[in-house]
Amino acid sequence: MDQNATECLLRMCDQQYELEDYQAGVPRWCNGCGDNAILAAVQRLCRDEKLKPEKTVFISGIGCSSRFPHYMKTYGFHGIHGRALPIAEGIRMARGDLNIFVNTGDGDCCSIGAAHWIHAIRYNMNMTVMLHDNEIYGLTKKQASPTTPRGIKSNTTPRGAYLNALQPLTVTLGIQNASFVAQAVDWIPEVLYSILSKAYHHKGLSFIRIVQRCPEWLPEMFDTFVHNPDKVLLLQHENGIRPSAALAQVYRNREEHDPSNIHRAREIASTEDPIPVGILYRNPNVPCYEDIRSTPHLRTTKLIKAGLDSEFDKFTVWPPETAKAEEEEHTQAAE
Amino acid sequence: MYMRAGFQADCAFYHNGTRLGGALDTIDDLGLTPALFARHRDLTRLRYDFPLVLLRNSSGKDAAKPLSALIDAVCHEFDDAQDSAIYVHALRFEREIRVAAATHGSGGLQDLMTIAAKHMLSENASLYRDSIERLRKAIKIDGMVTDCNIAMPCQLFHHYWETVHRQKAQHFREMAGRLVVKLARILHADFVRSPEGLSPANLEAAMGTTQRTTFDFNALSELLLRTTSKKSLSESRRKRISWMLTTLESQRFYPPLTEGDDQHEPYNFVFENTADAMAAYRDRLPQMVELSKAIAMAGLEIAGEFDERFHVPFFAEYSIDNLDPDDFGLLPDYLILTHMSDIQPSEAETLQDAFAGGMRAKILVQADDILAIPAFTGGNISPAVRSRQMVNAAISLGEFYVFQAPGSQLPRMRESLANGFAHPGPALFSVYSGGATGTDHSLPPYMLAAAALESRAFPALTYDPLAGDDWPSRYHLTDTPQAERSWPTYPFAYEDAEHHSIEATLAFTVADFVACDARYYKHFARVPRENWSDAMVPLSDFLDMDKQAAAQKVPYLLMADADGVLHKVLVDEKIVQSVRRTTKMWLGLQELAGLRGGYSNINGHDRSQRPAPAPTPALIEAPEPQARSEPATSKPQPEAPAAPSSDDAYIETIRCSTCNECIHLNDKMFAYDDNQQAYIKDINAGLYRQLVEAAENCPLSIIHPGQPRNPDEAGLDDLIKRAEPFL
Repeated sequence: MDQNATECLLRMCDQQYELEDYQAGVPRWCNGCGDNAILAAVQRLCRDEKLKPEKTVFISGIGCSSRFPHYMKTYGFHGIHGRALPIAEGIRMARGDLNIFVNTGDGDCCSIGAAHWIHAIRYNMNMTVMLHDNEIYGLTKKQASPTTPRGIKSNTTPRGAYLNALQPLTVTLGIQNASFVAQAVDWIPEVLYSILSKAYHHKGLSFIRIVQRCPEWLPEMFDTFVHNPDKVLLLQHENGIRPSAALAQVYRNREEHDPSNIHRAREIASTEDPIPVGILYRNPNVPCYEDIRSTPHLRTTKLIKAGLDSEFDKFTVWPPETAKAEEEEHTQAAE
Repeated sequence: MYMRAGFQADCAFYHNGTRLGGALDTIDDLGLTPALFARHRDLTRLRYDFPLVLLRNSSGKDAAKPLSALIDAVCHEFDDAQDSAIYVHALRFEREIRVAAATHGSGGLQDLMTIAAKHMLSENASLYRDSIERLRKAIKIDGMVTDCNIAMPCQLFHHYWETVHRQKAQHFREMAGRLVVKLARILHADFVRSPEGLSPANLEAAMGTTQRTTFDFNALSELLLRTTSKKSLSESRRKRISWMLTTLESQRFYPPLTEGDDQHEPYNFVFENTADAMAAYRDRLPQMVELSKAIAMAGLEIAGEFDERFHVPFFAEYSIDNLDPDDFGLLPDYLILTHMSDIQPSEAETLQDAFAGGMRAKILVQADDILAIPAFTGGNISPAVRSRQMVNAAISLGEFYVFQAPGSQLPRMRESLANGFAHPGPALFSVYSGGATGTDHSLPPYMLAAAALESRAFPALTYDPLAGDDWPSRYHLTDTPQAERSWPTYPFAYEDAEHHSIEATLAFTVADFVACDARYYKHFARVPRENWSDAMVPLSDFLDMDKQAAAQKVPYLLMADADGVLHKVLVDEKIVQSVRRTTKMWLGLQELAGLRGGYSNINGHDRSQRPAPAPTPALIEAPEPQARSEPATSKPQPEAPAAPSSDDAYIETIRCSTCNECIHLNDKMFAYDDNQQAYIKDINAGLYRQLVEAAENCPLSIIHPGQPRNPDEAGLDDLIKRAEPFL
């Protein structure tokens, strides 16, 4: 017997899931929106990994992409702007048994949530983070986000964006404790799925930047890359991903990249054309914050109450008669 | 002429053990030891691996440490260790502790330090006071100090078992404690929704004192009773959870989970013989199964996975057969501390029965006399026969971790020893204490044990069944000195009668070990110096000679008396045969361990011939000779599926990004597959126009409309033109 009795029993009652078991409602995203492709890949992952809906949670901030939890028939937390990661970290600390996914957009993560993003990478808590990067604020109808390329005209930059775009991959790879960094594009679903699968199995924070099209506000932004496969650099490795034979026929521009090589990963992350797709960096040995801070103490009601009492007592102003009684009690105990 | 007569006498002794004409002396009263031991008669003056300190609150290899290692570590922390007297004083302090340990047999480190300090201060208080104070302040740890003696192996192995047992108890307490809390929460959650839980009194009790008067608890209770779901735990589930809680809380394999519970005294797991251990194991088997069952059921219950349809019948038949290594690993290992002299043949059978029945035990079999003369040997000298048999039997059972070492080598094998206790299965530890022989002047146990080790009479070996898939991976002799040789050799310097310094190399064979035992003195004969001749050759040289050359020689050992005077001692043929047998046995062990010929070479050859493992199917790469940055490969490649004819309509489904464009256009003609990617479900469910429009709208251009199927469709010429870019 390779597994213990409980595992065998769990397997005995193993439940089969279909995509429908994870589908909740019809997405309100526009036709052609890359979010649809991400949703399809994630639902497929949940089905293939047989993730129990009641043991799975999707957390998001604000934006088009952050509507994601509404479309998953699992637990979800549509949080506040930029705060998806702190919420997810709290859930991870309290519930080690859950599968945690975070959906955040380029505005949500790289602007208002940038500080949380940096520290979440440093904390390296076990979760899969999808950065839906369409390089624009879509929900509020076309305002420049931190990843909007220089020169792109928007409602907030009518003469074109003034600054060079922030590159989420180079930022992430520059933060201590980064343990899994990948880039996917919504128009190659097979690779998107493969990366999601590797990310899910990685112990630690898996950060995936998913370059996605916004057909409404930047309809032609990625046309060059979508229609010319040579404009995509597919990263492949035995410790990363491998394309199928059919896909490899389309995407011939490939590089053998060892995800343990952080220096090459940083070089690749800086590349804009061709757009790199695959796992840039993976280090399974980075410790997770929840493991570092785990305590053997059993969190019983009694323990929690004692801890709270102890903290409250530091600030309690006792009525005079109670204080006197306490003092007498202490004196007797000391004697 | 004299030479000839002397050689005859030597030959007579060699072949028959008879001493002709008084030319050879007995060694009975000479107090001889092997020459290599001449300088180590007083071990208290020697800095070596003993005594050992059995440290409290340490685990793994470091659960015990040599006193010398502790002193070194402490001195290393003193900045001025190299420049002042502190290091010298520390070494003296260590020696005094060693003397105290040797005198008292064992004792607490702090107590022995007190005795040592007293002795040194009484000798010269002003010289040692400062150093001793600093040393005592630096050595804060405590633990039993044990010297190399007959009691040491039991103390050491019990100590290692305790460290593992303590860790397991802690792990169990945390695991079972969590289960109890979570199970109790299920019952509590049901209670708070019950009429009793929602009663005014209970609501009031839950509110706290300050706000108690603010609420109308009767009204609150009435409201909650009306609106709260009436669904509660089924009676069967409640009973089941209560049973789990009772089983977990009343278990006796570890200390009770509830502090102050003195009704459930933990079982004893340390035994002095296998029969008692086996009886205890059998008695506790039902409780063991019940506890494992409760743990397995609680895991399911807490995860919400307990399905009465499947699990109730399954657990009704739950038995010892359902327990796997992890379940056994959760419970304490039995520790059996027994002596070889107490093991009867029937006990050996009991032992085998026990392991066949799943008993997980760590067994120390301590041999104190490996040179006892069995009645059936017919005069053959075969050291440690029973230990060898037991070790071989354990290895043959397959799942035993086997450890063999003399007591002297235990400090250096602490890691292997700890591995044995951590091994997820039974373990046999065969140890020779060196504590009892037939000799009168008796070497210290440490020296006798070391002699057994060096001579290969009792080699140090480990066998880890989980360490690999071939013998050399599992079987190790590396803790036996100079394991690659038939017997060890050491440089030896001495002065001859004219005080000339002589340097030689001496071998240490089983003859040297046997020469330490008075029961075998008859096989040795001292040759008076005046009778030394060229026909006498060292035993190791004699063993290397062919039969013809050996017929002209007689073998001798170099031994020393208490004054350090060297003697040449002839050995008889029985001793030579014993050395040859031991060497042959040793060569066999070397082959198993991959140290010599046979197995390792063959195995190495096999490895080099072994084909490389096949690539994982999931990682199979696509064919593409012209790919950029691709390493050249001759691996067979799977072929990509052929593209359909351009006359047929199709979608490159694997590239579909689920954008919904085509589906919104005609959800009868287009549909999503199991992966939510589009395909043409029914080409007759729409017009060619819709196929063309879908192709035009598809952001990835993966819809290929093919040729029209209905030549009468309106506007066909225009549609065919529009479809051209997508064919």
